[in-house]
Amino acid sequence: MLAAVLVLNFLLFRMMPGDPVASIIDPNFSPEAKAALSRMYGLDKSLPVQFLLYVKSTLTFDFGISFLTGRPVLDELRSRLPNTVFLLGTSLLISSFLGTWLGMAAALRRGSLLEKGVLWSGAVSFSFPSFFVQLLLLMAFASALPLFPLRGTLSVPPPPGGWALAGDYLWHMALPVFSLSLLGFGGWALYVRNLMVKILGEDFILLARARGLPRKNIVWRHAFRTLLPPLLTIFLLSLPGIVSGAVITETVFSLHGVGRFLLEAVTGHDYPAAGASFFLLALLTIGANLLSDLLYGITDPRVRLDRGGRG
Amino acid sequence: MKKSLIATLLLLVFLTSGAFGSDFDLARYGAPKIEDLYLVIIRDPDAQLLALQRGKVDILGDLHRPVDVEALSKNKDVELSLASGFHGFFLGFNVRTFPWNRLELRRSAWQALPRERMVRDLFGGYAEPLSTFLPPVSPYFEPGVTEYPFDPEAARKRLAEGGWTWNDAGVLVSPEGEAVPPQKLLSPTASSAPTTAEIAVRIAEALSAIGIPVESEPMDFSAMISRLDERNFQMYVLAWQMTRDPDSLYAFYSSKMDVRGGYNMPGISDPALDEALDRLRFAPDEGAARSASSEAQKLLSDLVPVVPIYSRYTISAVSKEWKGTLVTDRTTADNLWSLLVMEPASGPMRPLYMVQSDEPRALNPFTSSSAYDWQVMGLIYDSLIAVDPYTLETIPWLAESWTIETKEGPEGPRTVLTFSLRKNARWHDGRPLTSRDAAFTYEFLKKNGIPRYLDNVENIENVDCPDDFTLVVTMKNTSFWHLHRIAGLPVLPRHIVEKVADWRSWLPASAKHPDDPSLTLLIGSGPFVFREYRPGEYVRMGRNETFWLENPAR
Amino acid sequence: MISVEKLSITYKRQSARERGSVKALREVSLSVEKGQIAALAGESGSGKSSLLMAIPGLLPPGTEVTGRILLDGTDLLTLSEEELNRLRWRKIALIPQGAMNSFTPVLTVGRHVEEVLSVHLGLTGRAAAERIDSLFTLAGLEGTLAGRYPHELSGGQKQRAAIALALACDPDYLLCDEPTTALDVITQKGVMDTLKRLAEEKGLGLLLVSHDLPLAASVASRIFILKDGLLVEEGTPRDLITNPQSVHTAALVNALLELEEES
Ligand SMILES: Nc1ncnc2c1ncn2[C@@H]1O[C@H](COP(=O)(O)OP(=O)(O)OP(=O)(O)O)[C@@H](O)[C@H]1O
Ligand SMILES: [Mg+2]
Repeated sequence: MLAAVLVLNFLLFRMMPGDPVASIIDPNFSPEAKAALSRMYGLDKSLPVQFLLYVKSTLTFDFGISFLTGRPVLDELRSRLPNTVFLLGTSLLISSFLGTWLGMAAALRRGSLLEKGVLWSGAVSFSFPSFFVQLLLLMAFASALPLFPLRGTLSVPPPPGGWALAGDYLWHMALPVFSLSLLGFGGWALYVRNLMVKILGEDFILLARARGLPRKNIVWRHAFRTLLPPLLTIFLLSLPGIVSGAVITETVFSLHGVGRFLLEAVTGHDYPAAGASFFLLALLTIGANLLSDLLYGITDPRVRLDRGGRG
Repeated sequence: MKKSLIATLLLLVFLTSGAFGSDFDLARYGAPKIEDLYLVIIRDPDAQLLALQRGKVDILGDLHRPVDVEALSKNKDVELSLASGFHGFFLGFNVRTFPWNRLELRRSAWQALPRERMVRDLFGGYAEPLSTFLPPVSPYFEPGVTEYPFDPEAARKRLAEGGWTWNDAGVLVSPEGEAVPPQKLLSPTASSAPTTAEIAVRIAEALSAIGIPVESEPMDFSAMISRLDERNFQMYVLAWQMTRDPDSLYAFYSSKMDVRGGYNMPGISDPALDEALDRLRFAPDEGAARSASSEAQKLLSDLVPVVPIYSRYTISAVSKEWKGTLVTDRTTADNLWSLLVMEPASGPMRPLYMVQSDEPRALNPFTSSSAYDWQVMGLIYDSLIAVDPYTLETIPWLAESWTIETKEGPEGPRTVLTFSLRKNARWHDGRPLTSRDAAFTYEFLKKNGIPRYLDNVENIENVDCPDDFTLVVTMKNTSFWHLHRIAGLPVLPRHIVEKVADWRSWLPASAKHPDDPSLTLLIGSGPFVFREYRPGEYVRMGRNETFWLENPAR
Repeated sequence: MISVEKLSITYKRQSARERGSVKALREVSLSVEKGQIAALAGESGSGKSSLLMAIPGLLPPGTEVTGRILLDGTDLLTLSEEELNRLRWRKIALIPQGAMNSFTPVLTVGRHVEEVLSVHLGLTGRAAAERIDSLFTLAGLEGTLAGRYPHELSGGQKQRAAIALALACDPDYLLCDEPTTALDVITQKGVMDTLKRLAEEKGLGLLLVSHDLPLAASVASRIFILKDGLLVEEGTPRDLITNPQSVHTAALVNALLELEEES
């Protein structure tokens, strides 16, 4: 598995048209200077040698120096990860909790205004470009109504440390997190509503009613507990994917995060940075998959014994 | 409305340049007045605009979306400045093969393009049509070249006179009876570069109208560059940031540059042009350089290896809460000179906030080649010479004066550059800056074969320091441009760089200075001192209290 | 006594493809008393399950129901969901058709029992555990199976677990919808014997749905036969045998007689 990731990572970026040196369009760089740059990047070595060096640097989590930024890839990731993790983590938590709650409420009140709202917000969140929504929010709540800052994760200059600094950080992250939550909860609500509607139509829910159980027992113990395993799976499996959602948010709100770094690494043929980012992303994907299997096993007794069948 | 704005801006530009004349007076400048300068990192152009409009930043440079300029022109709190720059956008052909190996076809293509209208439609006037191979702001610009004003009828006539005909489908047929095959015009995709893609479409239409069947082929930019690099194309559009010196013409059009990685993508190969470009490249003095440059430009306009299309203005905006900016027709307000003299229009001194549109990266003078790094390092490091903001001619900076001589050596003539350095220049840590620092810098760059500086230093034969303030650089061959190549390099502090273990991974901004805890290893002799870089947030710079450029008597 | 009076059930179809209504039951009257076993027989689709589900008020929303369902004099059709909840399981319990899907898949069968014990009887902890054990024994199951999840039980075990669950709150009436379909003959007999014993010992009123008339006749004291939503026949097994009212019943009765001769 890991070997496949390594090989793929290595080949993928090198097979893309162009290379980090050829894409320099600057009359100050003569062919000789470009060749020297190629040597500096280690691109003059044969592919097998490059591959071995790549494997070594990846497995030791060293990752080398980014072609684009000239800084160690590890430093770059370290300085950017906390912002992205905070941004994506909080907004994912908010949107999934809010979405789950709304989705369940909608499923329980079929035909209500709330359900229509959920169906509508789900459709909207899939059809509006996030860039547009976020820019609108920025204009509304950072410019027209200057409640939130326009950029970054800290004021310039930042307040002196401690609580003031933490507060400043939260104040800066509020709008980006809010916007991502806003963009995300509709999809969750729709998904949860659909699953919930299906579950509520199952015989065992009718039987729970036959047993004269209070509504909250039926909703939470019977329906929600059944919903939980697929919900957790979706939650974990969506983790690698939402990294791409970070790109636009980080651009609009000028956040120092890994999303932008990843995009630039790929488009700029920054092999070390792209290789490292995708390696970590692959680890995240594998990790999330393992965790989701594990949690599915814990939350759904049907897969506890035999891992193979989930049906 | 739009037109009148541009007219006002241009008028302003000409008035200011007329008012000040072209003699730039260095004596009017000194250490910066601002105490704190923040370069605030804002990537998204919309967010940049909002930040300026809300007064969160004071300077926004490199505006390039017409809508933004429109929006700001209505804002009473900011002052816009506009200057012609070194940007150039060209249509290129593969002149190695039929049909673009035919000179009359290339000339006719030039004439068939409605450049004025394209620029007007697409840029709303924030760009100018370009019809020369050097930007008109270059001190070496030659005005007396062949021109091909838009006239599709004349283009058809030229072709007809040359024996070309049109077949039933309206496609051009060469005098030998060969029809022009369908041509693909490579361009970036509309999603990545909307105006460029649109220009490509319009070019294709205009050329098809005279019988050249062209279709634009949008593709990923990297893929396109690699096609160009492999010379696997028929036509392309590409923008360049050209340089002040005309020797870039050599890089673009010498037949020696038609190699992998070289920029002679069209593949133009003409003995007379090659000879003129060689003379230009190795001109021993300024006079020879000027005449070779003029001749090369004339030859280019005759040979038409590419068709110039337009040049974008540089536009910047400054808050009216500040005064003292320097604006010329060639330099917008966001320049070093402005930063030296700007002060609040009223009230006490406060920090100046300037937009930095991307992360400065390593802040490593050896490897950094991004403009964002050099926006920072350019305020920290000095070179021996500077550029006159009015004329773009060379003016003294760390070097008070210099001579360029051609001396005969055992292996032929060579250029010898002799610089007299200022005696009062100091590094930010207080140590004096001497000719030994400059000599060390050049030798370090050459010895390590640092790619970014390879073209600057590879021809250095020898560097001498007869005394602390005299520097003699002997080159291996003759060229007037050696002056700019050498004297334009940043001079680095020897006492710091000496201790650098690996220049590739050197991160001076994150290493403390051994003697002064308020400094890092990123020290130079320039007007601003590096204080702090918070990745993703800002770079903070402080005034260099002991800057060598003495303040004018106030 | 549960007495169903002139009960009619009309399902409304609201799907996009099919619109219209299905009359599942037309003016059917019948009754069960405590300690009595009544059987409801009839071919597939005749409305047996519909009648059964109508009693505790479990028909899908929008279904048109007319008539009366009296439980010891109270018309269940007039009660609210909360009022019904107080009667459900404490008075009337249910064993659904094919117990396959009647347990929530993520809860152990024991947990299901525990829940009704705590909700209806306030029984928790040790007392609840002991009751579960005795219920399981009563239903002919090992107490250890309480810790199993529904999918970990066989069809017969699940059916017995459903019986244990149904008896958890000592209901007065038990509605069984084909409790023995899909079971082998021996298991079938075991389950039937258990139900019969319960009716006799605990005075449970049992309404047993089956399309297996011989089986029904062997345990019930009264038999009702539905056809296309109509009550076509009603009486003691003996009545039906001696005086079948319809061709259909006659065929069924013949089969029954053969069975009796064998035994
Ligand atoms: N939810 C429903 N919506 C619409 N029609 C229904 C619904 N449930 C049952 N019906 C219809 O009502 C009629 C009676 O169905 P019911 O389930 O009561 O039959 P049954 O006698 O239990 O049959 P079986 O022996 O096959 O279980 C059938 O025609 C059936 O299609
Ligand atoms: Mg049924």
